[in-house]
Amino acid sequence: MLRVRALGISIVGVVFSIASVAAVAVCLSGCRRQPSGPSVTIAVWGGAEEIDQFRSQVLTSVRRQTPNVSIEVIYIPRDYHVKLATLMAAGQPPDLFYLSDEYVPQYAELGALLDLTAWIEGDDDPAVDLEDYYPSIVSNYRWGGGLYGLPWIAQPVVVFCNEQLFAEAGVELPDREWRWAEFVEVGKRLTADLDGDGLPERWGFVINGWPPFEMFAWQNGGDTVSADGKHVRLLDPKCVEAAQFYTDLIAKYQVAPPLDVVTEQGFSELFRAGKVAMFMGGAADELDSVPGLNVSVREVPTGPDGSRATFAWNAGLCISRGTADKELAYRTWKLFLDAIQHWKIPAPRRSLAARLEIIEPRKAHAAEVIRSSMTYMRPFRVIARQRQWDTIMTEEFEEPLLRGADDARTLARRASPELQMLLR
Amino acid sequence: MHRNLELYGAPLARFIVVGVVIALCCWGVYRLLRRFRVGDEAASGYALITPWLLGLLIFAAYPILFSLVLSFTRYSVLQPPEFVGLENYRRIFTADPNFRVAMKVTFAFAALSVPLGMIASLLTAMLLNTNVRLVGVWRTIYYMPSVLPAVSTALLWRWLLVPRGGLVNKVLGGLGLPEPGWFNDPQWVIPAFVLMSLQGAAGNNMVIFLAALKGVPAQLHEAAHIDGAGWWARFRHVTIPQISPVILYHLIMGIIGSMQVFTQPMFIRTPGRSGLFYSVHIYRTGWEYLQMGYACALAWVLLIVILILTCLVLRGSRSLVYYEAAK
Repeated sequence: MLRVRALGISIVGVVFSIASVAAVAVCLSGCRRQPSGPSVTIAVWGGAEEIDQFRSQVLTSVRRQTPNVSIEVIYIPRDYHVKLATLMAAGQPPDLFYLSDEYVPQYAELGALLDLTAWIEGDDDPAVDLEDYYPSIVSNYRWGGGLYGLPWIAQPVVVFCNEQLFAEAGVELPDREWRWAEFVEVGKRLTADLDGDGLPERWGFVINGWPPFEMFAWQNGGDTVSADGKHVRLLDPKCVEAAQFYTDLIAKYQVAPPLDVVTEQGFSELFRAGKVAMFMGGAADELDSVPGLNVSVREVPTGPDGSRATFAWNAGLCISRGTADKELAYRTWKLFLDAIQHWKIPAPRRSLAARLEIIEPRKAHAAEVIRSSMTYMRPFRVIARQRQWDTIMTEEFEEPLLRGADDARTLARRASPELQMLLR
Repeated sequence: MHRNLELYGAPLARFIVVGVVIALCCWGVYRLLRRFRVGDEAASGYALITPWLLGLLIFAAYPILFSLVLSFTRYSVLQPPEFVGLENYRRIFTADPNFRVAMKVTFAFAALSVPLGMIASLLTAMLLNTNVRLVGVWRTIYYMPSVLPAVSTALLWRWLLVPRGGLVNKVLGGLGLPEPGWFNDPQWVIPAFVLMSLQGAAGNNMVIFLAALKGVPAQLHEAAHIDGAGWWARFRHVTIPQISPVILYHLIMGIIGSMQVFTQPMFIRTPGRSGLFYSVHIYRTGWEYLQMGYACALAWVLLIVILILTCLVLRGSRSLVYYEAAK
């Protein structure tokens, strides 16, 4: 009676076939190893090469020190923060996870991070010795009186100089005392119209929103946010002056290519191709080991009055507040933190910065410059709605500024109210 | 063996339970329908589509309705949602400058891409409806670009529309025409996206138009021809009325599709907010700013806008569309 007459098959058979196929398919695709003993999950970002290094240099070391702990690594090559948020929304947050500093206030405010203050206070492990860390970087992991992670990298911006282009232009490599005026002068001498068509084919410098405008504002004694984090300071004369200098590098001094040239030819590719003589990049960037280029590393220029400041991108390791075994998570967190700091350079610890060339021999030639830059490096002053802040800064201020859509003061006046709303 | 069972036993058991539950649902639906005196064949059919219906309810209907609930909450993804009433909707219309920008960008794109896309699809279909040699090969060649992944075509167009040295500008320059800045110039961002969207003209839309053109009765053309109608008159008074239901279908689907365009603007950087499409605004708000409740409200506003536009088009088309079956 239970038959699909046209086909002559039993409905019971069909139903159970569907169930079996569904069950097997779901099993094959979704089975996940369920560890029986203590376990920790860690979420990390990175491409294939970086993940290979993570496995061989970090994971192996941590596993050796915690033989009884099952460690599962969640590799997230793209859209890291979206996937991390999804894991958290699904109630399956990784116990430990990478987090760049710009996300820390938001995650801390939303209660996703474990406050490590009490854990670290009574701990004499060198990996959590706060005296050893550069305070400017650690400050971005504090929020509302708590400490929600520690950084494993802090890359100060330095200047990569193509020595051959300097030599061809008869320009000496800059010393660490150079100021904005000298930077422009050097840039002008390095910029060249090679085919005589009236347009340069080689430039002294390149800019596309990187390095961030804030770095120039700091060098000029300004800041985009007040010290108490409550007011936008974009209209501060020091900021406006720095912003004008920032865009003048393209429009007035013409030492950097227009944005459309950068978009077409690539940003760092211009430097790699020998079309740009100076490139400001993170200290760990591998622009000093590009085959065929002889590259020196120098400190970024100082402001007009000699003020030193450089931006430092940084990322840290945090613990999920929802982790089941906090003691185990904290212990493993320290091991991972230390292992990553011995793998990635430059680690934001003075003791490790002192051994930078031992940790990464390929950076030995730049070690002194990097160490010196680390003494005055600064991260952004982050707020809980940092992602929105970044978007507005880029779309309403930096990008139109570099495109020459308007002067610095007008753009600052236009962007400030919207930015101010985020500081409420 | 024992260790494998220990490791994989629990999840395996869970999935088998899910499979059995689905099977029981099918069985239950069948028994229930039979009890209500539904015929054996119909009951079997409904029982067999039960897994699909369950999937639709669990993975489509439930999230859609849940997003409506979330639109009345403050939901950061990392914390449980908190009811805020109509606050999100109030914010959309009074305190979100990006809403107006995104609407403007999306409407501008839709206003240009929908009619141009339809015209291009129809022209391509007419071209491929002619009796030329190897027409099957031509149809395949024209259709092929539409099966390329959206991301790769976005990157390809980015490269084609490079202002200095891009293929499109080289051609324009060669013809002595001005060379626009395309994605680098805020004024040209929308035309650049519209140009990109025309690639889809030779895809599914063209196939549907082709099928509609094939369905136009030849005797109508012959009769018009005998009456002295030229090519344009036959096209205007025979072809267009005959394929008007398909034109209406394309118009509605085009409006829906263009209001939801997402992939291309996500992968192509544009100056300022000139490329801030509505779907990108929703994505940013939900996943980058972690304001999922507000993003859900934005999505529901989009749904309502699309619904209104569709109703207007349907209402306005009553006297313009010819349905053979209705005569």
